[in-house]
Amino acid sequence: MLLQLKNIFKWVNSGGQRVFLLKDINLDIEEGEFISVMGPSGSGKSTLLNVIGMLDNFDEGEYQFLDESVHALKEKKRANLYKEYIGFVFQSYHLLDDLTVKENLEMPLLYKKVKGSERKAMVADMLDRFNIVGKKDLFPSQLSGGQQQLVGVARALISNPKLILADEPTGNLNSQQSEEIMDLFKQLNEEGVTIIQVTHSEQNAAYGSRIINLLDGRMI
Amino acid sequence: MWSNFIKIARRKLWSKKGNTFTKLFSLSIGIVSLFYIAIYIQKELSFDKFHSNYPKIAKVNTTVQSPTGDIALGLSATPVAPYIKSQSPEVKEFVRINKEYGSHALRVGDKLFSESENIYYADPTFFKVFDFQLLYGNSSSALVGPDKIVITEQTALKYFESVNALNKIIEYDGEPFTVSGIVQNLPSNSHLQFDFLVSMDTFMKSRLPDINDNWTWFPMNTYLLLEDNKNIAAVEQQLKLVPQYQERSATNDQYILSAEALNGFHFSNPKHGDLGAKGKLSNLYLLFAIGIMILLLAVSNFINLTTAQVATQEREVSVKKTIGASKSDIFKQFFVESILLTSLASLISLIIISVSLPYFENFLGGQFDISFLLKPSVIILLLISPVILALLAGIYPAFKFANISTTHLVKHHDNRFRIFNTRTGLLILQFSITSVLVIGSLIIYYQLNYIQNRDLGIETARKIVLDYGPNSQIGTSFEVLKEEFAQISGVESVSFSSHVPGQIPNGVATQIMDLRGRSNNGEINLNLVDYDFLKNYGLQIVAGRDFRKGVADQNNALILNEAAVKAFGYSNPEDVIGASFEQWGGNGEVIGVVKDFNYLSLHEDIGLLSLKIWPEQFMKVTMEISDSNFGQTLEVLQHKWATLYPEIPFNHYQVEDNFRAQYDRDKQFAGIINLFTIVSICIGILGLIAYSKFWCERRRKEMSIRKVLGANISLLVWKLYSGFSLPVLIGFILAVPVAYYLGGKWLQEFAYQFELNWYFFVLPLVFLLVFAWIAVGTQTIKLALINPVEHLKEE
Repeated sequence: MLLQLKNIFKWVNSGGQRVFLLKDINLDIEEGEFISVMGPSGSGKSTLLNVIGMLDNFDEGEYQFLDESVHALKEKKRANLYKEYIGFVFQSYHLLDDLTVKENLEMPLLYKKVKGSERKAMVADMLDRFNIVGKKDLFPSQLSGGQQQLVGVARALISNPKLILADEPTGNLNSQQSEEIMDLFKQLNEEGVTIIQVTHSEQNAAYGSRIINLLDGRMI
Repeated sequence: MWSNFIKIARRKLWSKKGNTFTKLFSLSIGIVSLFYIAIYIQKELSFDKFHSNYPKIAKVNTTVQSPTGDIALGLSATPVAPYIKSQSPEVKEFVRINKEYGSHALRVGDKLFSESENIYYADPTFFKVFDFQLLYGNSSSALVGPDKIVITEQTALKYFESVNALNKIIEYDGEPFTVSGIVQNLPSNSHLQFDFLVSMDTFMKSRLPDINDNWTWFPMNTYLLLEDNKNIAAVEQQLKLVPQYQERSATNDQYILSAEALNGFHFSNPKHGDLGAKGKLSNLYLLFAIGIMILLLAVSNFINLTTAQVATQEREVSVKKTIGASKSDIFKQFFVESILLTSLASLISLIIISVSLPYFENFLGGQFDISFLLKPSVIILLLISPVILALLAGIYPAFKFANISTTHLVKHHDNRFRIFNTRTGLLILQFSITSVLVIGSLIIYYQLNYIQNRDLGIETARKIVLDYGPNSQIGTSFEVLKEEFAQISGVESVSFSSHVPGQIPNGVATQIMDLRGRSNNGEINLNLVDYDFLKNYGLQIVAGRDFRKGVADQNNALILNEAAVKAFGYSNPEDVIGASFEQWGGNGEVIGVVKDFNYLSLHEDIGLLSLKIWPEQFMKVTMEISDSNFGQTLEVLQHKWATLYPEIPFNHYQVEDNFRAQYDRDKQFAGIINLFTIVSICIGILGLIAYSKFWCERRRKEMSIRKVLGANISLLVWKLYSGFSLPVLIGFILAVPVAYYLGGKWLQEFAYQFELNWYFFVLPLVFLLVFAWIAVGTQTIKLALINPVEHLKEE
């Protein structure tokens, strides 16, 4: 088992009332799964993704990730955990504007203090694999949306994560670009990477092996 | 990793050129300002410290307690120094200096020069006590024996066109002198400023032996070299015991001697006869405060500008954190950026300083000794100063950014951190500082205007002074000369005197005995004048009469000013007319009272003054010259003078200039304050522009909603402006008491002050508000013209 959520609750207090963002979520995810999280706006999809990605806290419940109890971990250890095992892909790509494609890919390795020669090899591999060698010295603003997201995925993959969390990865792309990215996810999944994506599109959801539906913070 | 940080920082700074430029600009001028303030303060504090005996030198002062008030003299009587040396073992050595006043003619071959205020008589021990280096000549014998003269390097060049002028001859007021030494040019931070040192024996030779027994004439600046700097109190004790001063003098004066350490002399209260211009410690504090304020302005600008791009920074930080950056990585990244900026700013400052240093020296009217900058400790300080600045300016934003939460990225509701209050606080601080400086410069401007335009009670316009120096020959035949000058067309009036307005005449002990038998003593300044002096200077007689030719007024008729009359205890000027007086060995009758006029700068109250006719003491001719052909008349005069007295230089100046020169130091200070006010306004305005960008960014949504709801543009603009004006107003209100206090302090230096009015506080406010409105104008108008669709969609 990759991760397990048990009775997860998350809430905010608004105007004296407790508003639940997540309500009693129970979820087991095995390695190698490709899961699509669906639901209307405000149903808690992104919140759930953030909780799984350890970017956000929850108020109640238990979270096991590779036999570590995330809820009991100190912030620093938790950060180390997600740095090691989780890659993020965002709807608006979130590449660093001041860095070239190559440097964007290199960044996570720098933060992990990977040695220079090894780092170069890994970046070269990734550029090769995604067919973007020719674009390595361009800045994000010089790329199309699809290309930017390609770099986004490559950056998420470069530190060999077990899990990729994608928040509407095709939300800003046209249908052809979307298809390319989804194909890429499918391929990665087949290579053994676990993927959890949030999506509005039935078509994209169909790429996955399992669909989780959320409504008002509850799984249905 | 670090190279990566630097690379990113470099690109980021380059891509936001406007922002980077603003930061660099404000930091650079901040650093430059601070540098200049620092070296100015350094120079002032280093006064006289180059003497190796500096801590062990003390000066002897005399306080004259006379019935008309106390007079503090930086001088002492000639026998005081030898006496104290013989009495107290603590005194190792003494040197007496007598400064020559008035102008003197010096000649080498056929070259004639007029010198004034730069000739000192000095004891042979001069070079033992002080560290002035002789380039040529023997320091222990250079000032031994009469008719020896030591000159400075630059004087040697001026007179002989070469530095080695040893044993050459200079004619000084007609007498030949041997150049016995060439002294290295004097540092500007010396209170002793001379071009010529004449042996004391020269001064003594015509006055011996009487002078060694004259305890009531105070011609000497006396310096004592002590065994130890702890001895000053003991020496002062000894000075109090000088037997000659244990009882009041014949003129009912009490003399009290005191010792003053050379350490701190530059900042002590100026005493009559003190050598060198004094510094003001309060001005240094004020400058130091301004330096700190400007640094604060620059730093708060840096912080404001750095944090202004919250939105983009937040996204960037969040992304970096999700791909594995730790807090310290983020912190380092921003800190590297700050250090890069501050280093760059330091470099720019260095360039600005090296280009502007000569101008600034000129502006401050004195050379800086910047050799202290080469000390290892100073070099280290300069090298690490970018890091210190980065710590000051960069640590807050770096810390803030490092703490940005990652959730911001993926969450859709706005979770901006609360930097707003800090930013507004900084803006208020900036405005307070700028307001203090603006009000301050306005006060200084008005005061200087006021003192230069105030009615002094004398006519100074178009008056030329020909300063020929002491020359009893000219004096005794002044009436003939007067005729000669009066005949030149364009010369409207001629009068002779020993001093002219703007110069302080000698104070002399005076006794007045009136018809009712009352007898009063006191010190009064004595100006020696001719028959037409009062008339020509437009002075009014309020009681008695003016000097009259034909009546034997010479030497035995005295005119007092109202202040002197009052000080001698007369409420009605008429009462003193006819009283007999004794003054400076002469006696006679008080014949008139002149209306008070300001014969010195308005820093001072009108002092006690007496006027007497004494032709032998005349040193100056005042001539009123008609407006037309001013230059031509001057030329004719010069020619005439050259034919009459070829051995006396035609040394002239205008009374008005002479008077204004008394405010030179005030003007210089005003210039410094004005400069830094402009600097601070520039930094403040830049800060405001940055703030307005941030402020408008935050209000985009609000404005969009207001527009959708039907607000009109002028209403929006008004709303934005009024919102902006609040920090300006708060800053200003905070500034007013500070400015009022500091301005009042500065004004206290003047005996005459203009009245502070409400508009001194309202005008700067209006000025600042208008400036602020212009600065934020484009931003706010852009915001008011916003297309609501774009910004409502975004959320």
